[in-house]
This record gives sequence, structure tokens and C-alpha cells, in this order.
Amino acid sequence: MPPRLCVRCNTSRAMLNRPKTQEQVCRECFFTAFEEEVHQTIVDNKLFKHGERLAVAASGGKDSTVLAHIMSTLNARYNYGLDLFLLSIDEGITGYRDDSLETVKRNEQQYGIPLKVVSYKELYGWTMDEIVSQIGTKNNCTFCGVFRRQALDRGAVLMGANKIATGHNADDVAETVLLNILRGDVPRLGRCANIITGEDSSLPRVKPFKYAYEKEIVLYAYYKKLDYFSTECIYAPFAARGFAREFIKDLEAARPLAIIDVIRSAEDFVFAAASDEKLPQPRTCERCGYISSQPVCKACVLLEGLNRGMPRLGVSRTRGRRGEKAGLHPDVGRGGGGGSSGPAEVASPVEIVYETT
Amino acid sequence: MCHACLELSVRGKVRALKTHKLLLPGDNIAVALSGGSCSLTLLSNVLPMRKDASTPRKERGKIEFGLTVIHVNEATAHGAAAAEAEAHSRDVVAAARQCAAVAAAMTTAESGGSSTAASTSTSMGNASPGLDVWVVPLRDVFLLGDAEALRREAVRSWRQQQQQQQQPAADGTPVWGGEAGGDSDYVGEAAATASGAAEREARLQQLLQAVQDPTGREDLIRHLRRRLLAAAGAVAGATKLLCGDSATALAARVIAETAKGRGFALPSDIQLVDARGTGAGEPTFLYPMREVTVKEAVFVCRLRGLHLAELPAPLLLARLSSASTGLHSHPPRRSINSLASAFVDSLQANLPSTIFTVLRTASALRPFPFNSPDAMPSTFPATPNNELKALHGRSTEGASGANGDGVAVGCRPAAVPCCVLCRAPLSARELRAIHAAAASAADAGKQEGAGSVEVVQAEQEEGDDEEDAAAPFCGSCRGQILFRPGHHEARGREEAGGSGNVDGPSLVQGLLPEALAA
Repeated sequence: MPPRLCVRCNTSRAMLNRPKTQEQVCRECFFTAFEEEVHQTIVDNKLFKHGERLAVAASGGKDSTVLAHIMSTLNARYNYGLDLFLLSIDEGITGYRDDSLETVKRNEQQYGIPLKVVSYKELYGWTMDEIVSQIGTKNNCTFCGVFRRQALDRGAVLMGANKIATGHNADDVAETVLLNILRGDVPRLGRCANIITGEDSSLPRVKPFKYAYEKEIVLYAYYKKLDYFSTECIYAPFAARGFAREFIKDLEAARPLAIIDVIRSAEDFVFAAASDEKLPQPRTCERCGYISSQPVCKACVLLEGLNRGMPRLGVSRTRGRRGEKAGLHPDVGRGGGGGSSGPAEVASPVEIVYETT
Repeated sequence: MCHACLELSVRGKVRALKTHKLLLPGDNIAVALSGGSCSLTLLSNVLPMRKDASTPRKERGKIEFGLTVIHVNEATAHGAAAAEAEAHSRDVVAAARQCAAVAAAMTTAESGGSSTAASTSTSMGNASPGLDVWVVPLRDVFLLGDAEALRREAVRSWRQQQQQQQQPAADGTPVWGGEAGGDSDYVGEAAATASGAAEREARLQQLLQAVQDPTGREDLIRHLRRRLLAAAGAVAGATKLLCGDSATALAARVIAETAKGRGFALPSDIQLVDARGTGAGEPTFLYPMREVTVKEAVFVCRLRGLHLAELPAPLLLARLSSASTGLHSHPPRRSINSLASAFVDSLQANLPSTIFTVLRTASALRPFPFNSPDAMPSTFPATPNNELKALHGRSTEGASGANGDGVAVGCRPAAVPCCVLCRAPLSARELRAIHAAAASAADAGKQEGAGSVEVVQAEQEEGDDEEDAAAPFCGSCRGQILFRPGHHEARGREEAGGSGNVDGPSLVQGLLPEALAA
């Protein structure tokens, strides 16, 4: 039996079955197709402008490694005129982040893109290891997520970037859409499928891989022999997202285009007018000055909780007066460690509001 | 929750129809009955709301309305044999009768003030509420557009039931059997109708076989059922059609439709009111069970002792999959619908608020104008007729029917362009694609000197895809039902921004009932 030929070039032997389209393609055609699709996404959505300084969020994992590779390839090929640099966050997780950072440092050499590492320790005074030792492994991902989001912003501002590109892939976006439907989070459902978030802010985030399948990213990294770090975070069993992720994988098995269809659905959702008004207006945090939906940003709330020894602050659902987060000490500023708090105060954040006001 | 509270809460939710002024005195309504727990619960709650025509005095909480029960028998579409389908119909009719008997018994018990077992059983035995079920086989979608033929079928279905009823049985449930032998008067007619039915059945099977995607096949059955219900309801003179879709089913539908890329059309399917067919004289679809979960419905049926008449699902699944492996090379894949409902069920088991959270989220999406109660045509004053009058006295009703249509057109909301197959409102993106394709098809026609779309249509075997893309189908139907060889690859390329060159004409489109594909 003659070897099956690639359906695109009809000359080389087909090497793989594209997960997205079920086409039998050769390696080179797969690379071209994948790169061209990302390019098309970038062009269609006008993600970048000439001369922008772009921070590529790099964790050392497959998505961000492929993103860094593709961005530097396309930037050279299509002359985007972007000034790229890698931005990594060091959460301070021994056995995970220190190893993946080594990968990012090698990427810096391989792609010739400068690297900036921002650490939780220098920004917040806490490493993730210290936070976990303080609060256990239950809500640690809340801290890490909130801190990383802001750390990326701060790192990007520090380096004078105009935009941040993240490696969120189609699977991630579809999963988020589903989770927001299941949680009933209408405002987030409305924006989670946007390819650009924070368009009006000084530092928008873009997802060039919004339509790229996770499986294809893995295949790309594999066949390109890219250097990436494939260990999962030691603290992340992905408990909350697990079931949605599983469902997305089932859907993909039933119909490969279902992932794209979930994203398309989310793009096509038209919300009744009322939901727009409820959206909190973006403002700046009173303490750190970064973008926030509340008077005090979530990172500052969590940080104060850590510093005052009441880490549940900001994790549990409580509302204080005047829409403020319950339990916030009015005098505590950024970085000013509240220090020692008695165990009595830890008991209930709501009571503390009464004590302090 | 105790029994009484469960009953009350479910009944309250169904009776909300009346408080929302969706069910008015003099209305002529139809209830869609599948035989499952939800539709039986619906029927058993609607029946007690109906004022008995024999008593002139006013009864509290009761209103006068005409009622038709319609059962669309789709057993053969799921792979059941003809005999099994017949048996299923009989089961459903028996279930409906029993449901009516139980409802009547409960009413007597309530009004009499005594709810002893003895009185219940006697009234069950005596009361012959004369509830007729119009059984419409799914193959009759090929009669769509021919109201007269549908009506003939209705009369036939009714006659059969009358005959069955004349054979009394010991336990009150009629014994069904020797159906062909029973109607000896109609042998000649029966032979003619039988050959017509066999032909339609063959067409239905051919159509379903042509749909390769399991999700597409399920959805096609659902769309056909809906169209048939609407047409049957219209023939029965009903202006409102009550469906038993539960909260559980709707939540699963939200997830499934999202996964099919139908986000734009999604809100149209999950509202209480759906009047999108009224412009064409179809009844308004109402979903009174949308806040009742399947679990609640199952309990209500169990408490009231209602017998369900459901198709044995595992058997059908096995047959379907064996049928499709014979036809297609790849192993059968699970349908998105079944995945979504399994997903919702598993979440609901852990977190009982899941279903309602999903529905609440989906309710934040903007519904379409035809989902508003204002979109319903105001009911024309119909004589308090029962279903028989509606069936036989159709000619006298013609005038008022036309009148009703006029009203319907008068208050019809701004027309929403919908997919001709599934009636999903088309999104701006889909409309753009259709218009673009239509424009280029027209160009192509001019170039060939033909100029008319019909000619291009005749040349479909040449693989002229432009015309096909111009037909007003939604993207989802195009992908999963009008599947063409190479379609998914082409769509993948389209998504990828390349040119989607679709290879062949759709097999399915030619097989669809003319009334739908037109």
C-alpha cells in the first residue's frame, strides 16, 4: 500500500491527523497551516499595531512556549514590527516554578527575546510556598491567580509594554465559557470569549491562540521539538475546572469542531440590556493604584488578609459596608504590614467591621 | 418535601399559565404527549383545570377550553420495528386515558370532600372522560403542507380509538389487538392509506439514514416532530400547544446548543412562550413545565400512580449504533445532546442548583420578539367545541380560521429571519454568508445566461455549491444535518480563514419534506 499523501501538498507523506479538521497532513503543511491560522486570527482581529511593545506571558509551559515561538516567527515573517519580550512570573513554588523558569531562560537564548522575571516575593513579600504554609491547599489557587494577574500587569508596566499576549488556547476559552454558564456569571460570560480584554485600558491583553486547539499546540511543540516544561503545578489538582475540562474533551471526541462552536456561541450571545448596567466600572485601587472593579483591588484584600493573619479575608463571600470588602482595616496601606492580629479577630470578618468603625 | 407540597408546587407552576393569562376561557389548546413523565405530569395538571362542559355552573379555578392531545410517534425513527411502534402508540394512549381517569377521580374526590379509596376506584371505573389522543406517526411530516391529508389521518386515528374503546376490558384499560381486523369497513381505504404510509415511512428512513452525524439525526427528529406538532395542532384548531419540556431538558439543551455553535438562537428555545409559527397559522408553543425538573415529574407520576409509556432507550441506542456502523466507516460517536444531558445530570447530582443556575444564565440572554406573550395572536372567539368538532366541523371553522390568521398577521412582531429547517433565528453572521452566497449565485446564473435560481438548482449535480450556501439554513443545520462529504474539513478551513470549498451537494436536502426545504 502506498503511503498516504498529505491532503494539502499532495507530495509528502502524511504524518498526522489534524485534531481540528481531521485532515491527513505532512509535518511541514501542519506547521504552515497552524502558523497561518494564528496569523489570520491576528490580522482579522487587528490584535497588534506596528511598533507596539508586546509582553509575551511565558510560564515555560507548552502554550506559552509555542506562543513565544510563533510570535517571533510571525513577527519576522509578516513584519508586524513588534518589540517582543518574555515576561515570567516567579510565584515561588519550589520544584515547579524554579524548573520552568530554567526553561524560559533557555527560550530567551533560543528565540533571542529578552526575558523579565517578576516574583511574588518582591511584589508582595510572600512566595506561594509561604502562602500555602499559611492557608493550606484549599484556596491557594485564588491567591495565585489574583496575584499573577496583577503581577503580569505590573511587570509589563515596568518594562514599558503596550500589550500582553497570553497563551490561552481554544480549549481554555471554551472551558471558561462553560464554567461561567454553570456558575451563572453573566457579566463574565459576556466578556470571557473576547479575544482582546481591557481594550480601553492602557494595557490590553490579547489571546492569539483563541482558536488554536490545545492538541495542535502540543503537536506543534512536539514536532518542532520545542523546549517546554510539562509538569503541572504541584498545588493545582485543577479541581474546580476538572469537570468542565472533561466535558470539553468529550465534546471534542464527539465532534472536533464543537470547541470552536462553544466559542462561536459565546461570541453570538446577545444579553438583555439590563446586564450591561450591572457591570462594575473599572477604576483604580485606592491602595496600589492598579485597575480594579472595587475600591480596593482583590490583590490588596488578599494581601492584607495574609499580613494580618486572617487569610480567609477576600476568599469567603462577605460584603462590608458601602460596598467595601468586609473586614478591611481602613488604616492598612499597601506594604504596611498589619502584623500581628489576635485569633479573636480571625473568627468572623463581619464582626471586625463593627469593631473598627 | 412531602407529597402534598410537591404536588402543590408542580401544580402551581403549571397553573401559572392561567395567572399569566396564557390560557383563557374559550381557548382551544393542544397538549403534546410523548408518554414520558414530564408530558404526563403536564397533562395530569392541565386536565383538572378544564371545566366540565356538562355542568353549567361555575367551578372555582376552572376554565373552559378545548383540548386535543397529540402524540407524535417517532419510535421507528429511533430504529423500532413497526409493531413496536404500534405497541408504543397503544401504550401512550392507554397512559393518557389512565391519566385522565386519575385526574377525574381526583376532581371528584376533591369536590365530594371524601377521598376514600372506594370512591376513587369507582369513579375510575365509571368515568370515561373520553380523552382522545391523536397519534401522528413521524412519517407524516411528508404530509406537511397538505392539511387535508393530515386531517384524514386524524379522523382515521380517532376512528381506530373509538373502535378500541368499544371493546371493554376488565380493568378499565382497553385491550388493543387485531387492529387491522377490527376496521373491516374501511379495508379498501386502509389498504390505500397503508401503502401511502409505507411509502412515507421509507422516505423518513431514507432521510434519517442520510444524516450521518448522530447529533444531527437527533436534532432532525426533534425539528420534524416540532413541525408536525405545529401542523397537527393547527389542523385540530388549537391556538396553543403545550409542551412538557422540563427544566432538566432545557438546561441540557442550553449546554448542547452552546456546543453546537447556536448561541445566537439559544434564547428562542427556552422561553415560556414561542409564537414564531403563528404567522403561518401555527399554534403558539407554551412550555409550562420549564420550571419543573424531571425528578419532580417522575415523583408526581409515581405518586399519582401514572404509568409511563416510554420507549426502551437502551434497545434503541444499540440498534441505532449497529445501523450506523453498517453504513459508515467510523465507529458511532456519542451525540452532543446525550453528552450534555449526562453532564448536566452529573453536576445536578452534586449540586442541586445546577439546572436552575444554567437556566438563569441563559435567561439573561435577550429573547426574540416572538417569545413575548404579546406576540401571540389574540384568540378569536371560538365556540366551546371539543376536539371532535374541531376535526369534523373544519369547514364551518374555515372562516373564523382565516379571521384568526388575519389577527395573527396583524399583531405579528417584526419578522425574524429563521432557518427553514430548524426555525432558529439566523445571526447576522449567518445572514451575511447567505446573502453573499445568494449574490454570487445570482452572478453565476447571469454568467450562464440562466439568471434564475431554479435553473441553478437543477444543476445541483454539478456540485454548484454557491446556490446551496444561499439557501436559508443556519450554520448548525448546514453542518450537522445537511452534511456533505468533506464538509467538516472545509469548515475547518473556513474557520481557519481559508476558502471553504465544499465538495459535493447535500444528499439530505433533496430528501427533506418539500414543505420544509422550500
